[in-house]
Amino acid sequence: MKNNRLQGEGRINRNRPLNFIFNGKSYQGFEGDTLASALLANDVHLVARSWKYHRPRGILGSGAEEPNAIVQLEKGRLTVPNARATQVELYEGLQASSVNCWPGLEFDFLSINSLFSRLMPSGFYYKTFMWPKKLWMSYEHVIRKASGLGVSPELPDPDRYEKTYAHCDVLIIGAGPAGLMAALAAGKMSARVMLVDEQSEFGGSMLHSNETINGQPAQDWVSDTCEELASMQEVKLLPRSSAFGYHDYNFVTINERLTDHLPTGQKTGGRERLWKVRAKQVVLATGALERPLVFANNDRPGVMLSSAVMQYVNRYAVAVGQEIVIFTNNDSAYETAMTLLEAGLKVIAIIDNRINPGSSMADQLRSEGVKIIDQSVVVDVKGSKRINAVQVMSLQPGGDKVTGSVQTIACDLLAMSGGWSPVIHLSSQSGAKACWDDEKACFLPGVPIQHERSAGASNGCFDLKNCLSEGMLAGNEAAQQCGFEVDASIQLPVVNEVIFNRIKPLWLVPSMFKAGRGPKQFVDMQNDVAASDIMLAAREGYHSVEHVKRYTALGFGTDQGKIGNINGMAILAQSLQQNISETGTTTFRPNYTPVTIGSIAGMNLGGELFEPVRKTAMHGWHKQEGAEFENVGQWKRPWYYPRAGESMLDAVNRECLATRNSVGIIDASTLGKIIIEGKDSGEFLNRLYTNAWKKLDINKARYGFMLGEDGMVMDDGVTIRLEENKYFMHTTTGGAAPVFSWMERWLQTEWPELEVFLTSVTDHWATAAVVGPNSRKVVSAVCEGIDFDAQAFPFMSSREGLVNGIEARINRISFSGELAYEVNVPANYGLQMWESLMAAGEQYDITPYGTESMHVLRAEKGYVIVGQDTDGSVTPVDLGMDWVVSKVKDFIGRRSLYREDCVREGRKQLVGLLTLNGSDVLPEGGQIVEDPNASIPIPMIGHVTSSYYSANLGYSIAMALVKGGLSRMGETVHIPLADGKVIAAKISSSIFYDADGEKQNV
Amino acid sequence: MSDLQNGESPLVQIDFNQFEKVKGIKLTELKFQGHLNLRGRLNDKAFCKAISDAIGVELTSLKANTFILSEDFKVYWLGPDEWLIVTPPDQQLELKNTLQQALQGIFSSVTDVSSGQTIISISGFNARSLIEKGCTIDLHPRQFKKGDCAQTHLSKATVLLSVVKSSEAFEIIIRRSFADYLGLWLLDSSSEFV
Repeated sequence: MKNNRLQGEGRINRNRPLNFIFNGKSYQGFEGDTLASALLANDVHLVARSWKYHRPRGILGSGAEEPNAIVQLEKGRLTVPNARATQVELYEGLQASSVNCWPGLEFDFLSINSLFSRLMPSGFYYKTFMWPKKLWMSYEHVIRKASGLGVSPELPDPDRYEKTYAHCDVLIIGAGPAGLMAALAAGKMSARVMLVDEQSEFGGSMLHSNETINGQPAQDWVSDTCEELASMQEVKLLPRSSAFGYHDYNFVTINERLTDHLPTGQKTGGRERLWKVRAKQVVLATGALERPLVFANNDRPGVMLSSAVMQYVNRYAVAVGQEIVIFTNNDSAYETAMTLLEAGLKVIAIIDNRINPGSSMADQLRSEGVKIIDQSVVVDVKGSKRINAVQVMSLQPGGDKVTGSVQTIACDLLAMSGGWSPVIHLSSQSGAKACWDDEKACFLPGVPIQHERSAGASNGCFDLKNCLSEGMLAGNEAAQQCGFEVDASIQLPVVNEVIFNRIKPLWLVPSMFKAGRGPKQFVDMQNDVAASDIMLAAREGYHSVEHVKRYTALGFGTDQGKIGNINGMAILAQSLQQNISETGTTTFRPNYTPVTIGSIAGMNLGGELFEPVRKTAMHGWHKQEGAEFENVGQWKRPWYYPRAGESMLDAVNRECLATRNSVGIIDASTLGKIIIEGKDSGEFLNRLYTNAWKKLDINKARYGFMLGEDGMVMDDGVTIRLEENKYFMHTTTGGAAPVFSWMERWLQTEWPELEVFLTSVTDHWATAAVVGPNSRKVVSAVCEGIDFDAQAFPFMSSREGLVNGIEARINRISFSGELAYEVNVPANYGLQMWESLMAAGEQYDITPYGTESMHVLRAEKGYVIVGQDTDGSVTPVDLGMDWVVSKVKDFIGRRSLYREDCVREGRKQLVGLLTLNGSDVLPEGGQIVEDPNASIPIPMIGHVTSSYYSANLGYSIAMALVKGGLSRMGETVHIPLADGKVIAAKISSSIFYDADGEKQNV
Repeated sequence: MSDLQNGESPLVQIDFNQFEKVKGIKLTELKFQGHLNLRGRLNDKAFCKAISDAIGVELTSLKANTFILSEDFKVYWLGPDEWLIVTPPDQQLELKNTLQQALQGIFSSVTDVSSGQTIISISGFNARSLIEKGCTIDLHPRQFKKGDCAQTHLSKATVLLSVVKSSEAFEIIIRRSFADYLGLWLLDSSSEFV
């Protein structure tokens, strides 16, 4: 196997060789390599097939911009689709394979698409497969298999993902020369600084630069600076961290990779951490990306970005080619040429579209025997899985046509540079509108909308000296904005000044073929978008850059247009005869680079951490007794307590019978509880509830309805007057928090004159409702200091006493129609209270019951549950509960009750339903019709809100909202089911049991 | 199972021993403290004087989002007309009676919520990092220092967070029904410091 490793040092550790597998073959690289550099060191250029034409593709770049070298990392649970080989740090045992090729990379069956590529223009799939329409689903399956990138893991992700919030004064994104300098400046001013960089080590372009800083290699300055920053207490350094989203209010999201660089067996703890950062000020020092040039077959393996070539040579000590041609329109490629020469590699020629591109470097290169062919372009390359020659032609004066004969130059690598595009993604995401700069031929960050500034190459500043000074200025300014004083001792490092000649934009390289006739000139390699596709889109009438993007797929995929977008927009502008400013850019949106779903989802996905589980003081007891739980808001409430061999229905039937015949007990702690105190409390309740409160006696309880301003039922519950000016309100479990806010809102914003204070005591009190004919015996055995005589302690009253020596409040209220007492103690003693009641009830076979039996028992009595029998469109009158609505006083929602719509005939009203066959139980939500044989759509007259089998009655019961229901008593209606069956039911009163209400008063 | 004298803490199901493996974090529960919710109007001189006489705290000088230690009591600012008084165990009923006596005829409300919440103390060099994983506010000592408190979120639970020692020691007051959830969250979130 050919070894391309150079003698030079690079930043790899030759003492730590690492073995890895790519497409089933074993290779070796070194610590410090990326997967891409290690592959190139092993002379592997062909790494992928393109997604539409399945053309062979090689590594083009060296970072996030890489469009081709997209791999599937690892297998099974740990597999990562679409990793950029240029960003994957090598580790021992790494396994990767190419995506999107079948049966294999060397021979890809679908490369036949390439032969027909002229027949597959933009929109090909849409244009071709739209007829017949119904077959699209089958076409789509095949097309999706043939295109696309990596494969999603099918097994659950075993990794843990951490996340955290963070705050800082100055967040600096990018740790190249500008970012490091900004961090140093702000850090010295004692600002709280976060410095973030996506690479494993800080330094950015300095890691492969030949330049010197303060007379030392740039790499030395980087390590000194990093050391100094690390010693600053308020500076946080985050390598391997991508700032991928810049949101409103200087909120920046960062994905830190904690273990991706470690061998599979050595990864411990979280795989990634999502940082959610609020920064007072942001410095964007995100650098610039080199643009490719758009010429025929520019996607062949062996055609690379010039800066990437330099990086592989200097940083990774990899000779990506032996005989190299460079094609450029600017000076930066000359640095690559110098680097290659220093590394002992052969630079055959530099093709430059400019006229006599003289610079000190050009002169030096000429003297070393490098041929500089000016005013010329590469029109084509030869070779398929690796290039073997380039074809060069001269440009006519004016530069938009080629002339003369084709000159063929043999080579194994073409390094190209089409100029530089500042990474303005985050600046654009922050709201700044990018502006085109003609001289630098690139978009620059726009005027900041948020507290941010750009520095260095991301600001269009491409020379080291100015990068450092812009960085320092940005750091100083940002920290100053946070109130810190500039540290006068900071000095700018000394660097050599380099004079750059102006770039000569070269968007679509002129060719001997008419556009669309010759070989493809790729603009976006990941999406197989060629210049001809963009021109076709323009011809077909797509004039907005956003439309062209979606028609051609330009700028989608993992690189999000980092390689192709600017060239594509320029070619579109040319086609539309606009300038680039007029064409503009597509919108830059998060994420800058792909982010794992795991990172965004973060921790706490499973079990009890996804959503808080609220528990009562007796939760452990319920669990021990084998209760099944039901979610009620965030609470877990016992649903029913199945005994061995019992079905849910068995258990509920047993619980309901035991409660009505002897005694049952239910945990009612979850109900909302609010103390209302102050001299205007009665007046406040009067305005809040539909009924009157001022005349309620102390220690008496009353049921109340609360309406919204629209007159619709919002909440209900029992409120007790504790003292002259103090009440204890119960709300529904789910209504506790909203009702509390509702009440505070009225007090604070509408009625500040009322002297009323509210305090939530929901969590303070644990409540057990003891229900059934034997409840008095059980409760009186446990509670001291209370006379339980039926007359002394009547229904709808409240008493204070002691349970196990602890203060307790007993409310004689009932949600079942039975004799019942609700025992409240401070929740720390809730379990003791519960156990005491269970012990006292043993001789009566006291039966714990859950929410299901509670629902059945209350339905037998026709008691509504707000939110089940009501849905926000139901008034108390609709429920047949006019008795709870005062006719003489005002209250919230009163006026709405007299709106035309609220008093019209035919509103849905709450009624009972009895199925003709008593063993049929209607499904809740079932639609009610008069005639099941009517023509479709059958008019629906209502729906079932609650439905149960009642063991106490021996037949099923239901409640329903039916149009004009109260005047339809005795009518038969029908409930068609999903399976085609129809159940007939008779409309009845919604009170099915103990219609006179005797039992609760005994 | 439950302690007859004090009953049972809402964190009874959380195994606090597991926190001993966590580096840089000491996590304990301050069980069975008295918690009294106090409401009244600061422009009511009689109200302020009654409180000052009873617990020696001038509510008018207690800044928003701070707390103060007075004798055995901690008084937290919760709102312009709402405070929380935390007492040592078993003193809440006595203090409640004292306050209610002193506030006779004054528009106010003193409510015992001792069983409705508990306190978790978190200290150590990783304490701040642990809380930052679930709390959106800035906990840096320049922003949130000894004596400060905030009603905020820790993960998905509402908490009253206070600083006992800048950057190093915090107390979290959590509602009873959310306490077990928060205990599990703290155990899970601190696993990276083990």
